[in-house]
Amino acid sequence: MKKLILTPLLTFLLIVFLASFTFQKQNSDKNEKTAGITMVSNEFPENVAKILKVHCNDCHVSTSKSDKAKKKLSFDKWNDLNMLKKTGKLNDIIEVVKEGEMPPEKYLNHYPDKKLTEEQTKTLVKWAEETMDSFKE
Amino acid sequence: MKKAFRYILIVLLVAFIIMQFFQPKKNLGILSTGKDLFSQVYVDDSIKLLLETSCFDCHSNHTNYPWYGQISPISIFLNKHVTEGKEKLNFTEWQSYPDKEKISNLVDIYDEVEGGDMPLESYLKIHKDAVLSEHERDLIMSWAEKEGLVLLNKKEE
Repeated sequence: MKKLILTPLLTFLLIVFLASFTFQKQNSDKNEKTAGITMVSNEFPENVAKILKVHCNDCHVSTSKSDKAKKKLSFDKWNDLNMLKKTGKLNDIIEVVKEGEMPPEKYLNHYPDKKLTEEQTKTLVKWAEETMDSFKE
Repeated sequence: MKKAFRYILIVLLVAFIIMQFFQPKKNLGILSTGKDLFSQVYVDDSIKLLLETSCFDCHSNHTNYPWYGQISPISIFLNKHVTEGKEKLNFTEWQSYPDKEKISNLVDIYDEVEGGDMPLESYLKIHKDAVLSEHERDLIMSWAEKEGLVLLNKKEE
């Protein structure tokens, strides 16, 4: 008698459980897309925006699940930063990209294709340096 | 059963005692090296005091160790924290940073203090005097911003 109630109940719970997952997935997909669009419309040159979108935007957007990453730098909020903060962040970007600290190793273990190529690293560094220089004028 | 328990306890105790002979090198260097923040930049005394009390244990060449900081494995854990902190930012080595890195550090100081991420919560639990009031946080933030702007507006180095 007990089994008769338990089995459908468990099945029901399982379905709810699974459904909540797909729902979450859809939500986060949507977030990523909107974040991507805001980013491109920002003041990044197209070649830079492309790299940021693929290689950095999984964590460095204000909708990110990683508090640490989004606090450190959210690319969709770039325009909110003043020149001083931009300079600081640009200098950090050069450092972490050159040293290969970003994207982080743990992340790359899951997504090996997110690793920056030498070409991409150069593009980012050049852009960061030029942007900083432009503040001096 | 009882014997085994006693045996384990003795082994642990011996291990603990032996551990005491292996201490990490202490962070007890000199603060005024001529390359430190205060020796070349004028920093207001109130800011100086705040930085010394709330940041210097991990971000300078001199740590004020608590008594239990002499006990291994706590000393090893503390040492790791200090090493990491100094790697990120060392006020004793401030003048050896290029200007852009100084700006990066000042922006980080601003953000970390604003977000309440620094000083670390675990550190504040033990060091009540390092807790920053809202006013003190504002003081540090506006100092960092002002100092950063000076560097930003400086003509090419």
